[in-house]
Amino acid sequence: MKQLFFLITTFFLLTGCLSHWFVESEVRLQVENKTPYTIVGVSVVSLDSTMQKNWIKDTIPPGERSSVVAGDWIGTFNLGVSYIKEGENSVFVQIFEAEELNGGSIFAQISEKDGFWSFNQK
Amino acid sequence: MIFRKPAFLFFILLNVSWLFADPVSVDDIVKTAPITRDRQLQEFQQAFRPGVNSYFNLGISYTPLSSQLPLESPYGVHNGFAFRHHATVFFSIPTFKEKSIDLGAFWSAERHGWDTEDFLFFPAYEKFSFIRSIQTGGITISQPKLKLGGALGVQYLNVEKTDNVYPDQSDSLYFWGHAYWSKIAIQTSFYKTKWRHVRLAIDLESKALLGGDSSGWKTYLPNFDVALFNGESKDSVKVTWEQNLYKQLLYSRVTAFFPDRGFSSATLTLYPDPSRMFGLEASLYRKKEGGYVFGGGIEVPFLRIAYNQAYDIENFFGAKGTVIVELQLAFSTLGKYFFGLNAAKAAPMEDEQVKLPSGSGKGTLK
Repeated sequence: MKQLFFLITTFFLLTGCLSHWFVESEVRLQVENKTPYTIVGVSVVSLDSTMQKNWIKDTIPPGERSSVVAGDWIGTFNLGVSYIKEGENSVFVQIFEAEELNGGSIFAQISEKDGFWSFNQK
Repeated sequence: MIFRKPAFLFFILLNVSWLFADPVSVDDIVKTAPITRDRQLQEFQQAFRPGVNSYFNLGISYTPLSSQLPLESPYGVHNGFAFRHHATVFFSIPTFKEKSIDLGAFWSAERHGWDTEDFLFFPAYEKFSFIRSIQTGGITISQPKLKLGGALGVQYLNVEKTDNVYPDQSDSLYFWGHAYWSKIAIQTSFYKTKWRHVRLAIDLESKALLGGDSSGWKTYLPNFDVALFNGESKDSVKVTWEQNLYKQLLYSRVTAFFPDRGFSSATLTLYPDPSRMFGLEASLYRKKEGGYVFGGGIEVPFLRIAYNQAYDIENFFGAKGTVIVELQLAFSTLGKYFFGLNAAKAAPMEDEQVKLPSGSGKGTLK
């Protein structure tokens, strides 16, 4: 009886998503704006830059943090950060190429110094 | 405490896994459908031989790391699992009073695609998942003494889950028919009123299992498989040439597509026993964009381990650059004999009489 129970349990354990125990299948992203500009959104930009999927839609003033938004983007993607400069009337986009995103919670700081942007995952 | 060591090992594997990561593209996954359809019907052609009573094949690809076969979509590389599960059952039993006519049934199913989590039966069905199944079923009738056989069936493709990053594909139902006489088999399939493929398989090689020679020049005759496809692709003719090179233990297989692509793959397979229950293969695959991929694999009952094997590149969405483990078991039976698919001889059985030289004092009746 014990053996049967063991066999049945093993079988049912094998039927579903095994990696669920080890690997998360969503990314919960929160970004902190360390730039002097106002960030108006974070999105995933396609490799050929023709398409984009919005991820964080918050307006994040300098020094503030966004809300935590869950997404399905686990892997390596190009992230686009849209921002506005004070006194200018257009939206700029900074693209971070080949950002590696692992499943789980990610807190990232976006900063800019002398025109060089960085996306630091903490 | 007991869980810490495996978890640590897993962590290390995750960190070095980028060393053997090679993504599969959304196009490759969708375009594998006609290849799977063809593989199932070709498998049927090889299993349905005069007198063969049953054929069984089960295979589950096992790639434990989410970065082993990630998905390449227009947005980037998604970590997850390309999967391929397949099973085939064929049996044919002598019926009617004289037991001269065999009636049988064939069913082959493959479920494949890409999912964010690995599974056996219940996928995660998340965004970017693609899950499709292709099933081929049919009924057979044969007269082993006259080496005549025929079969009719259906083939159903079902797209279970897709996403807008994949090219469009819809469900479809094909009808197929098959007939053989001695060493020649003809096969065809239809979608509505349009024909989709015609196959002509000529197996000239003499096989002891099917009543042929066990050695001699007749066992060195070639086997040809020519399939003509009526699809969207320009390359409409696929030619496979299988050749026994040494005592039905060493075979070469060359596949080519015409008129455009030409040479596609070549393999050299060593079977330690002609029953093909064990196999060691070296393969060469010619990429569509040019360049060659060398690889190989080892097949034993219950397991196949491969790296860049042409079989996986062709049937598993171009999977390469990683070690692929397939939990698999395949065998045919004819009477009391066991053998691998398309084998020339049966596996040695324990109940076979072993003849020892006379005078040795052993094995003689007293």
